[in-house]
This record gives sequence, structure tokens and C-alpha cells, in this order.
Amino acid sequence: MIDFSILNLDNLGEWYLLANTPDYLLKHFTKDKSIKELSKSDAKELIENYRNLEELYPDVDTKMRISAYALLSSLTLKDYKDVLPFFEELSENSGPYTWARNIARHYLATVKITKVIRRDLGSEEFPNDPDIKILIS
Amino acid sequence: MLKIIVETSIRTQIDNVQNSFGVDEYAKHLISQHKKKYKEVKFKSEFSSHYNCHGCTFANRRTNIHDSQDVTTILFDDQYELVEMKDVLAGDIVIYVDPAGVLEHSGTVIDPGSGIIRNPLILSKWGQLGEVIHRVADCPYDSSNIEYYRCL
Repeated sequence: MIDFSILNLDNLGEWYLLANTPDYLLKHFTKDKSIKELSKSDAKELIENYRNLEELYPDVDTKMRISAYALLSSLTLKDYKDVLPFFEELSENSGPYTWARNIARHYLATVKITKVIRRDLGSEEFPNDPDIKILIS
Repeated sequence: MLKIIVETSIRTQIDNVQNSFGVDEYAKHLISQHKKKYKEVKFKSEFSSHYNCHGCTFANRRTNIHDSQDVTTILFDDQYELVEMKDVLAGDIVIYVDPAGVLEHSGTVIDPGSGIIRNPLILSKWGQLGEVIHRVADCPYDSSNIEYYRCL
């Protein structure tokens, strides 16, 4: 279970209350030291905690909203391979947290798929293969 | 999440959300903490999640407009024109553009100021906080690139 006490809640809360756009929220949250610390947690665990918040505490109060956005912000700092399916799913579904989908779409927009190629080792074959994606953020 | 119909003058739909969450004890604590940092501004109204700055500036305080691109669409469709600082008048719109090009804040000029170096007085909504009367750079938004617009 994630230790939410590492979050600098008052600092994050101020950015949360002042945010007019999800971009502003994400910009300031991802600069916060406690979010960077949180992002050291395992991606699966962060995702699981976010899912739990969605299910058990759907948008109940300010602290929960800040925690939910803190989890999403920390996930944007993880290796794309570990979070891409999560953000792809989140971008299509409207959960209880208003800006979750915006954050997911923002993430997907900034992680640019530059090439979709197949390169079988030892083969001269280079046909397109959507199974392998090279992403550059 | 409740949405209302917001359209530009040429009927482009603008995405929006009317939030309805109230102010809880923790939010009150954050607000009082924040107000201490801005002693030169006047907080005109109290907490409201119902509308944000762009909803205040472009949608009559009725909803939240969250997407920077939608604000660009409004400026284009409604034929807003860029105004130079020296020509700014009361009623013009101020837009705060961050280095990434995101329109992170907007407000309305209520007094353009005078003299060679102008320091306009702005009315804007600070996120979920209330509406605030403040000098153009005296706010928690990136004021390094400020643009003024007028709807002709």
C-alpha cells in the first residue's frame, strides 16, 4: 500500500485549488518533490491505489482528489512501458475524477509514437508491425 | 459530470464541466493559507467549483472550460483581436500563456492603468478559489507572456 503521508499535501493542495486547467495542475504536481518521491513506487502499485481510490472514494473530498491527481501525476513520471495501457484505458473512460481523462490524454499526446516497426533479429524484413512501438517523450 | 451548451459565434461546441463539489474543512485550510500569500489583492467572492477562470471570462460564470485549445477556438471564432499593451482598455481580455503555449489563465481588464509603464488591474477567477481583483502580474500564474485581446 502506498504511503500517502510522504505527499506534501498542503503544497499540492494549493496548486490543485488554483488550477484552471489540468495542464497547470500536472505542471506543478510533477515538479513537486513529494510527487517525484511517490513516483519511485512500483507502477503496478500506484495504478492499484488509483483504482482503489476510484472505487472506494469516488471524489469524496479535497484530500482524496489531491491524492488521486498525485497518483496520476506520479504515474506520468514512470517508464511509458509500465503505464501506457493504463493511460490508454483512462483516456477512454470517464471516471469519478474530473481531470483524470484530461491527464491521460495529455500524457498520451506528449509521449509521441514516432515509429511503428518490426525488426526481426537476423532478418532483412522490415514490414510494419503494430506490436512494437518506439516511443520518445 | 454536468455539461452545458457553450458555443462560439459560429456554433463550435466548447467542452465544459459544471462541478458541484463544495468547500470542505481541508479546502478552507488551504484557502486561508493561500490568502496570506497575496496581501495586495482583493478576494471578491468565495470558493466555487462551478466555474473557473475561462468560464468566468468566456461563459458568464456558468461552467468550467478546462481545455486551452477551446479558449484558442473561442478567441478565433469570436474574432478577438490582439491588442498592444499601450492600447488596452477596460473590458479587454488578458490571457496568461505559459512557455509550453498553454493558456493557463484568463481575466478581464477593469482598469488599464496609465503612464508609460502600465500595470493593469484585472478581475479573474483563481481556479476553485473565488474571483480576485489583482494587478496583472500579482497572481499565481505565469505572467512572463501576457496577451491582451478585444472582441470587436
